[in-house]
Amino acid sequence: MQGTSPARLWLQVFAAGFAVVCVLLLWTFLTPINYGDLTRTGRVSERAFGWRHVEPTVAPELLKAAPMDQADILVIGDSFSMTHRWQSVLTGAGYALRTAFWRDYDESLCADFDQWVAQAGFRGRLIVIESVERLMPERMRKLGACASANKPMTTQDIPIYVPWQQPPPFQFNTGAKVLAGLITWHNTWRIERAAGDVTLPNEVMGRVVPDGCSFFTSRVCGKSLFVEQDISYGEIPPAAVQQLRAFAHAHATVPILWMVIPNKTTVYLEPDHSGAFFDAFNAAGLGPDLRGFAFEQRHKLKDFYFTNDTHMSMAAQLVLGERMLQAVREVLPQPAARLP
Amino acid sequence: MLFNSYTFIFVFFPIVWTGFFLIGRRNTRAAAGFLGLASLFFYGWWSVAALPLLLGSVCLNYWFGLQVSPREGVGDQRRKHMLVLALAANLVVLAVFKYANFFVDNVNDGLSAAGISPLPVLDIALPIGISFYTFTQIAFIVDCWQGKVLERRFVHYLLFVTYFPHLVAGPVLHHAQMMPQFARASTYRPDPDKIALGLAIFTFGLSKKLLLGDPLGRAADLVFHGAANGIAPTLYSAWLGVVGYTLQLYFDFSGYSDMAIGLSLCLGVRLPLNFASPYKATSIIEFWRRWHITLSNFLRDYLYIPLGGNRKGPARRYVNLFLTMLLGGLWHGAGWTFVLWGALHGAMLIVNHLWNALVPRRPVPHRHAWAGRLAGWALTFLCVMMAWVVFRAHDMHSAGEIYKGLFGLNGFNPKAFGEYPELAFRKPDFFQPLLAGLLIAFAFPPTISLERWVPQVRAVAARPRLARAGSVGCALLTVYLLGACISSLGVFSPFLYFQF
Repeated sequence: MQGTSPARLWLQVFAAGFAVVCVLLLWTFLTPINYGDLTRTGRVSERAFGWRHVEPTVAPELLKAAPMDQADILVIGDSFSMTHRWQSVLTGAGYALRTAFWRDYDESLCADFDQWVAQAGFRGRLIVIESVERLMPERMRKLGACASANKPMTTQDIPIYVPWQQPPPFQFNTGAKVLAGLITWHNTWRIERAAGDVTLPNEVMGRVVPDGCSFFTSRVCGKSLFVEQDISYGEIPPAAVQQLRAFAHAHATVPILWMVIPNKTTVYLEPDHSGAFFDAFNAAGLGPDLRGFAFEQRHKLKDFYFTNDTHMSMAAQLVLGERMLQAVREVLPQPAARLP
Repeated sequence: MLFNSYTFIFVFFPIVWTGFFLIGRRNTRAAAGFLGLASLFFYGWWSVAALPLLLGSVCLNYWFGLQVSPREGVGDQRRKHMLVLALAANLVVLAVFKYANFFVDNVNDGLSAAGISPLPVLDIALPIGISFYTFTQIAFIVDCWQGKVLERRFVHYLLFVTYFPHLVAGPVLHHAQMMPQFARASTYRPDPDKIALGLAIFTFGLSKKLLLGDPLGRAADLVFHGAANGIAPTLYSAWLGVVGYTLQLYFDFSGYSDMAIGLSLCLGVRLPLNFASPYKATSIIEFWRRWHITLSNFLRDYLYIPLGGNRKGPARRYVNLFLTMLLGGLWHGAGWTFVLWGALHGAMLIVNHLWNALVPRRPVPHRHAWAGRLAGWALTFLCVMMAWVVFRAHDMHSAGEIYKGLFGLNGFNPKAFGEYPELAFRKPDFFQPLLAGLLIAFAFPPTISLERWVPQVRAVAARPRLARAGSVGCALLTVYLLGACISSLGVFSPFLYFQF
């Protein structure tokens, strides 16, 4: 180095650094693009944790929502309802459905719920309110606490989210940051190497699932990814059942069917999470026992929940639709007669 | 092909750079030809359809240049006619491709007011870079006519006009700065000093664009698009949007210019400086000596001075100044907002010159001089920001909405961007670059001052170990910034000045 001119020294260091950048970039390009929400936020390899099956096809006409003024059932749901998959089973059985989402209304349903629904043009006979378990405590805190909704209900005809039919084919990952490949490799290596659970950035956890290979199709199947919020958001208090019942009574114009979907962590690892609530909920008959349903189905259906995602697979959502059809028929035996 | 793309950084430029110097070792003219062809390829990547117009313009203007140059047996009258023809041809091309639809739209407004059916709108796409290559060639022809052009080999002319670092968004080059460099044999030999400095300037320019300009632009877009779509910005959001745009435009355009200068330096060719910390200016006159310097020089040399400059009395001087700025505004785009922007700057320059003429300069105690400079800077920055509103606004109505917001006439919302239903960005991703951008624009020297740091830190050049550590540190910082920029390349992000 002693005899090197300043410019040559500068260029040597720059070239070495640039070579490192090129290698990192190539690594990132060759790292598959994430298609699961947990692999994306936790930056974990899809090669290791991506699901590997073909999802059932659903006829497009079953995924289209009915006009609000013709709907038998109004669904107010979250991301589990965004693909319209479970609703498609009810549509196939002749019910007309339309779906609105909690997130559009600050996760709250207000005291003017009846008027709000009526103003949206709904004239049907049943409201299904769907929520995943981990978001229930927050939604319960807000339920009925506001005097009026922050804005009129807006809905759309087609699913907000179109799911993959099968794992996406390989594409160069050109949209990611330079370090994405290295970080993804490192996070995946940490999960695979660890004997126990591993916490990753963005509240993602890699956790050991006993007998996991009977549940998941991913290459690494003895472990799965979970969102820490399943635990950190706390259990739903049993008293929430009373709150749900009170809300349904206060807004009795149209019957309400509650649909509480258990967390992925509850289904696979911590079955007693919110256990007291689920027991009270089932006893109260406010909606179907989806926790019991999930415990049963996880053994029957591989990838009942995607291993790389917080959500159920589409195959599982269709089975969920069958269960919901059963529950809806108990309240609303027949869809409204419609002109051909 | 954008400078800020994988294709350019990892494929096009390395191939062109290597080919240029490999060919240049054997034959400099062939290397110049190679660079010219590479530049045409670069342009064709943008738009193959616009390539014939560029080539036609180059060939025709080269021929005009030969025809208008003084030579034996050709009278001045004939040369002058040829000059007029050449200028008219260039202006007609520019008028047709850039201003025809603006003209038709305005005529149609008049026709519809009179109840007459409108003229059809022409299906003409603006060829990218047409304003830049037309202006550089007009300067060449005028200088040919004046007998100032000495270097006139076609391959060097082709390269001067099409040279890819500047072709689509400037700087506006002058043949006298460029063609002698292409004729010099040393240009075709790689110079480590120039390459190191070029890479550093390119990287800092890229960082200005990607790490500052783009994030700031998302807030500016929100406010200006919102105003065009019926969301009136409140006081806080309007100011954030306007300051955001003020900084975005600077970092985007000066970043592009830095990249052009840096790339060119890697190829051994020096491009003129285009920005010199314009937001530090303490008067509008000074602002125009620091902002888009090559365009300002062009307008001065080929418009203001031919109009008479300051040689025909103060009144005529102000008229010339105003006209120059008005046409400078129109050069930026075919729209009344650009004309108004030019007019605003023309008026501000006149006021500035009047002030200088009417208010005598008195010696100020040194301890008070800073207060005057601070006031001048604040007023200048405020005026420049106000003028950017019409420059950026979609139309006069939305510009009016922004102005109302700036003056608090649309109310006040203490939450930043609270009136917008959805934000496409996280607020820290706006406020962090905003603070960094203000600091860099107001307190840091212009990018060209990297000369003092790369490849060697001049201040410690006499202390070898420290100097080496300085070189290594600067190289590491540069490559770190490059890595950070490459991380942002996945998104298509064109430069603002491509539209002009």
